[in-house]
Amino acid sequence: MRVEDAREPQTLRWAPWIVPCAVLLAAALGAAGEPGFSRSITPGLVAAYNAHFGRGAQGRLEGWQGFVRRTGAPAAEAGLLSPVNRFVNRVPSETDQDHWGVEDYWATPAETFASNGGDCEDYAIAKYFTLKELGIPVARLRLVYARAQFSGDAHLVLAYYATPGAEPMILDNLESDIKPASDRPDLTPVYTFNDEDMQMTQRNAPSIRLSPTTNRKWASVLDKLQRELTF
Amino acid sequence: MTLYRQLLLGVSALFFVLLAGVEAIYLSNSRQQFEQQLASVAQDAATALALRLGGLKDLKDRTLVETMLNPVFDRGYFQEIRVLSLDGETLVRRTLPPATGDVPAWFAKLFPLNPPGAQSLVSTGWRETGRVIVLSHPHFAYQQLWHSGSQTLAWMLAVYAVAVLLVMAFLAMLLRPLRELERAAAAIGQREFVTIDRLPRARELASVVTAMNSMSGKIGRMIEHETARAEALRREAFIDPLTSLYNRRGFDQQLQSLLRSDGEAASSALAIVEFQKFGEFNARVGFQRGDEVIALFARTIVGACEARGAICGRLGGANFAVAAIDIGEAELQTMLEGLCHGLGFVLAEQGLESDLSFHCGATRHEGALPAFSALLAAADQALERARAQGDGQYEVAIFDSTDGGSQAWRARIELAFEQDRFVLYAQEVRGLPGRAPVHAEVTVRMLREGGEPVSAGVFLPMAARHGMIGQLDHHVTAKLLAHLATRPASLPPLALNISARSIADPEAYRRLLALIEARRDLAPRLIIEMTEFGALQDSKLSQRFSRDVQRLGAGFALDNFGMRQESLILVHALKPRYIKLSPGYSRELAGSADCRFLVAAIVRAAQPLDIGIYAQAVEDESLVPLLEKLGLAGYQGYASARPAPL
Repeated sequence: MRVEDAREPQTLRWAPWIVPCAVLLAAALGAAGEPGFSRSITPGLVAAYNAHFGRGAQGRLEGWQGFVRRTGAPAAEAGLLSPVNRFVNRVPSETDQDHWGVEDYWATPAETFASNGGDCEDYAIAKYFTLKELGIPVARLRLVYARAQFSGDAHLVLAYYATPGAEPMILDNLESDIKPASDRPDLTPVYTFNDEDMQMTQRNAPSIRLSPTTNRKWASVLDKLQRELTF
Repeated sequence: MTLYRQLLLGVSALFFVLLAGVEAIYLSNSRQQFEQQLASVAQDAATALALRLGGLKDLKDRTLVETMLNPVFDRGYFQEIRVLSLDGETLVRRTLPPATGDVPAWFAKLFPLNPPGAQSLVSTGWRETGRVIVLSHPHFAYQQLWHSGSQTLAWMLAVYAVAVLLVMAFLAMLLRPLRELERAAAAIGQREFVTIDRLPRARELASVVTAMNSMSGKIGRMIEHETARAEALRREAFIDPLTSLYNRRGFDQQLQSLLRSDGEAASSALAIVEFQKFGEFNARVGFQRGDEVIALFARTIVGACEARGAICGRLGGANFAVAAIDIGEAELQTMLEGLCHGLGFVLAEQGLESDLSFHCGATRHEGALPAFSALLAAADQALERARAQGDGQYEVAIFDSTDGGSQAWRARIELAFEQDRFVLYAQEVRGLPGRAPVHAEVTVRMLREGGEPVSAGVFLPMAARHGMIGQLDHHVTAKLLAHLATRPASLPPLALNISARSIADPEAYRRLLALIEARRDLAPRLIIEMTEFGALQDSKLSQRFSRDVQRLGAGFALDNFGMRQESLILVHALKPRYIKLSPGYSRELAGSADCRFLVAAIVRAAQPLDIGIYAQAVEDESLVPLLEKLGLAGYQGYASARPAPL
């Protein structure tokens, strides 16, 4: 992905009213589950992605669901990181231009698995939601804009902080193993964000009403997730 | 409210709502846009600051952190910038007080700008060190919103003003024919059958106007036609075709009408001119020459007497009569001298001195107007004496019926005013068909010192002579209004005669109207009557009086209508509620087919104008069926009721 001048094509922007409508519709249909979770995938969504991405989509989505179910047994947080990283990294790497036909596209986990392809941020997003589904508090997860020294490309990885201010573990699609940040001299971190966490920590400044989102791309992923719930 | 006003109000209210809506939508959209902009500015600043603070090893050096914030904060676009440590402790906080600048507080309250704040995580390398919170200051946005809002408002108001002006002009153009229509309708309501010349362009209005014009035109023509018929019948019955003077019957009628004009005259005079040997002359020179000479005499008589407002008649053959009221003794002498001189001159000029001779007998009554027969008898006696005196002479018989002299009467009337020794009598007038009382005519009698009543015919000429008619009319009207105030409203209205003398005096006119205006509540039960003779004295003034009286809600009617030449025109102008024919008609109706035709014609001419015709001096019940057949609206006289004190 490219961080600078990342412009989303018009066709993928969601009109702001779609989200509330979609939420209402989801409630009406009785679709349960949190956005972005493997168990929130509806049969309608499977059918739709099957039609759109080809017959294999259903199998891949079921594979993801099966992985979460199997891994779902209580385990130490740190023990979850490696399987999730490995599972998601199995998705073949494709550039957004080749895969989605646009310069920069942030896909939902279901899109990533169904289409069987993605680039750095798609891996990070899929890992983020899978870890969240498996019970890891979002306060320990951060999406990090970084620079990959070998390729020279702008890169995005998921970082896991065991405690606030601690050295994070890096979940990267370029690296199958999970390493502490100090073992990743090839990455230079630039900017860190986690909108979900920040929303929850608003109590730090109670006098100020904070905007729910700081990142437009992230907001578009949330929109799409809401919409997926309505299938 | 007129249709124009209602439409204008409706349309401009609609415009106002529309433009106010546009303005409101504009402001609310702008407000949202500004809020989004402010939020995005805050997010940009938070992201930029987070990146810059990430360059520090940690955020513990507060001075350094603050120094890094200052350049951003001091640009003035932010209300608050805060840097928090990882555990949520505020490390640095810079704030600007919330302010709206020169934007009025109510505006800020109406369109609040509450953009959300933005935050960003600060990381040094992989390690998270804290977070930055930024809140935009809405100060500049308020100013922008206020500025563009007032600008659009000014535009909207300008557009609104122009729109309203255009609508006004358009409606005025559209509704112009309606105003004309309304005027015409009002005129028709006033029994004036006008037509509208210009047809309105709107089809609906055009058909209404066409229908109105056609209706109005028809009625107008019908009235003209009936008026012309009545006029023709009048001429036939009352006018001598050779001389255009009144014939015997017309003269009698007019004289009787004059003699009943109570309050208009202080005296009366009658002169008879008789040419002797005219029959022989006529036989000798032929009828044509004879007629020529008669016409010449008639012109001479009219020339000598017309200026005095006298009525002239040809009694038959070569006998003429001249009657005048309210004429002084010296004036009568002058008139008669002029008359005899003129006739003598004509005889000499035509070389007829040897063939024809004439004399003139006249009589003058001072005070109470005499009976018709008494006046005629006195004139005959004077004529007898003139005949004995020789050709071309005149003789005047003077009668003074004033009891004790006119100055004594003056004192008597003044005393009666002081002691209010006037009593009102009323005679009921019955309507036809049905004979129900429709109104009652009020007459006034004066009580002498001893209490015995004096009839109006006796004291009114004296009051007229001393210029007390205005005062008397005022006194009687006040008395009548006072009576009306206590009279049950279910009883028919009361009619009162007002003299032309009261109207001719501007002060008396004003006081009389003020009297009625003060009791407008009673005015609908009051009818003011004027005699035909009085109304003809100054027809412009009578019209004004009629309008004024009707404006105050009282009725206006014509009394003692003898149908003089100008009378029908006057009737059209005055629009009286009803007309009372002079008593002569009632007397003649039974015997004269001409008279019946004439009365029927008057009734027909007055009908479309909604004017009822009443007969007066109907003393005999047997006449009533004939009146009903002729279409009269009612009758007054002993057959209806005797005058009774109110």
